[in-house]
Amino acid sequence: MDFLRKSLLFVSFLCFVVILNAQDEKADRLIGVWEPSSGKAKVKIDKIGGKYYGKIVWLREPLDPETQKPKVDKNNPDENMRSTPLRGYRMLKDFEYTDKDEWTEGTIYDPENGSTYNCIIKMTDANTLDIRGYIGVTALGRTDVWKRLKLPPRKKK
Amino acid sequence: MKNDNISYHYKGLIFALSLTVLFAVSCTSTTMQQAQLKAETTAMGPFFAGPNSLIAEINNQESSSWVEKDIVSEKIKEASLKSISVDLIGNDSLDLSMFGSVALSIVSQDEPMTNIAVKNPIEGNGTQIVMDISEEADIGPFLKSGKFTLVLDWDLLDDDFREEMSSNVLMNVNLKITE
Amino acid sequence: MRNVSKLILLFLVCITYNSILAQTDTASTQDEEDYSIYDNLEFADESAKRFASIKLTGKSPDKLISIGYDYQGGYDLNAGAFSIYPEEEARVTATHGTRVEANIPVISKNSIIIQAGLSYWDVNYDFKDKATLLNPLNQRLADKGLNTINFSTTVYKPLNETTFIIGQVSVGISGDYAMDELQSSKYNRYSGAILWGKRPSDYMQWAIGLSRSYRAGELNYFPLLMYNWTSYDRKWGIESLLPARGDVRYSFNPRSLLFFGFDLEGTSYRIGNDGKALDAPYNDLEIRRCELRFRFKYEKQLSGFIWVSAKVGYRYDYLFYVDQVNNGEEFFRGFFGDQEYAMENKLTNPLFFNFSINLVSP
Repeated sequence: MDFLRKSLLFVSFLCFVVILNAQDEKADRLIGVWEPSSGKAKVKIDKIGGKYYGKIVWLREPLDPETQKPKVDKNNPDENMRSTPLRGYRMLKDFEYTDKDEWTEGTIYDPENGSTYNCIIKMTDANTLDIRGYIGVTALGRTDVWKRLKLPPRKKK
Repeated sequence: MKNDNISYHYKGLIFALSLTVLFAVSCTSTTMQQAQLKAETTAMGPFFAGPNSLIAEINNQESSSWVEKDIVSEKIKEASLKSISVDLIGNDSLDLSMFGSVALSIVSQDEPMTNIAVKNPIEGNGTQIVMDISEEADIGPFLKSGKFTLVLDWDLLDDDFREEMSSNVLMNVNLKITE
Repeated sequence: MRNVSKLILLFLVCITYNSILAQTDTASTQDEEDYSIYDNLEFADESAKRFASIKLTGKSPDKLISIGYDYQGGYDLNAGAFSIYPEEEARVTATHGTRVEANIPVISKNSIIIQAGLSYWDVNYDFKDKATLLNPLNQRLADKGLNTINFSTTVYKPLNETTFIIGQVSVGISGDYAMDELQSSKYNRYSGAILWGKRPSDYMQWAIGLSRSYRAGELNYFPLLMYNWTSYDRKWGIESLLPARGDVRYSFNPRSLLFFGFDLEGTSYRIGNDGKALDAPYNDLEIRRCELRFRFKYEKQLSGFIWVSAKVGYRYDYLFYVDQVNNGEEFFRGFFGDQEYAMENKLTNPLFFNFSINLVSP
């Protein structure tokens, strides 16, 4: 009886470990390269410190037409940060995985106008995200659909 | 009757004294200090042209994060940036001329990621550069939490196949410390 | 006791193991970040398509909610002869009212956007020497003013990366009714529009279409031309949906925009009666009201997603005639019909001012 009880406890611990691992795997499905509906940029989502961040890795128009130099964050409300290059800029920040295929508690930044919105990411299928930026309540917002991009095989050194 | 009056006055005095002590204890005094926080950010190669992220996990509970000072994170009331410089580490001909720009962000478990410094464009040679710091970023909550991550994004101009890249980040901060 | 300790230790090891897993940073352990590979990537889902975006670089932000106030300065209103009443010239000292609008996207995807709209305008007429008014139209305007409520549904459907269709249907309830006593639904007026367009780049979109509308004051069918454009330096632009509105835009910065252009505003207002002057056989009269407003408009971000908008300009009276519309059954006159109006009125033209505070869309 004592042995049975101990075995049950052990199996329960194992199940708990498996479930935690599974949760992490589900959360990490967000990682990858995605394209917003406008096609103006490509965004790579990574994990830093347990939260998810998306940085711009490609721009359809990489150069500023006025300066002919790589685009910078010239609409940032903080004047000192307006020279930050847009390529490499983390426009998705601080997302945490909840259940129901959603990542919440994050923000999305629009470099077109320097505005930051609350944001929810919902994975509708393995290759599709609903990115909803909103103001205050989710009803006052707009959803953009992002599609996963296929990365080529890794280059060897 | 007289004894009752004396007893009444003593009670009043003790009560007033207690209030005074309580008030004195609740009003903590603070001091302003300047301090330096040092962190080594690293990433594994190879590296390709474009932004590459070097990361440092900081635990400023450990005294080694603070240069020549012992700062207790819980006692930090406010903090502001004074200056930030970064230094390329490595002897494989790493030089500032290899980079177009550099940007620094800070994040912790309870605080949103915040961009705190940038230098764009990078001009000249050498290995050390002083960055332009954000006027609006508030790093107080990060330093108070005791644990945060620094993300240093170097924009490489050309591919570089070294195995590892490191940079030292030196942050000069103004601190308001509770006594 | 010893065995329990072992189990607890095992539990702690498992938790620690998972904590380490959770903290694995993909950003720091990636061994490649070759930015050149992002130039020509395909969708992971081969059936995925790209669609023309409704947004345009540099265009002014769409308003989700708008609350505003409209004010016209003094002008003369010459009410035409009607029934036993001769024409009458009266002085309107001001025409003013609130305007509330909401446009909420209820479905918003790459492949389709469906938006529900609701607007409410009220128009109050302040007459000089109101007590001396004899003409029933002037009396009616002075006593009741005009209200309009409009419900609309707009669909934006991109067909591919460069082509799109826009459709809209709306129903307007316009008249001199009080808000607690709306008029019969037989006086509802229905409008619609359909456009087909192209978006060749992030800086330009155009469309052509057809509309059934009361914007010119009475039922009419006319062609539509939409043209939106932004210069590459994002300083100049055009925003137009002709003949409803047209603007040249100058951007001081993305949060401060100046426009010069016009709006064509109008609808058909049913005039009720209380058994008084507008009694049978004149139960169902409608004011065909249309104004052309030439104006400067300035839009500025106040804070976050709150923007303010101010217009100042000149209001030109295009139409303010009255028709008899028996039992609310609309008839078509268009630009070339010769049906006679029940009353022909003339308004002189004042300056106007409009201010609104707006919640804009991300």
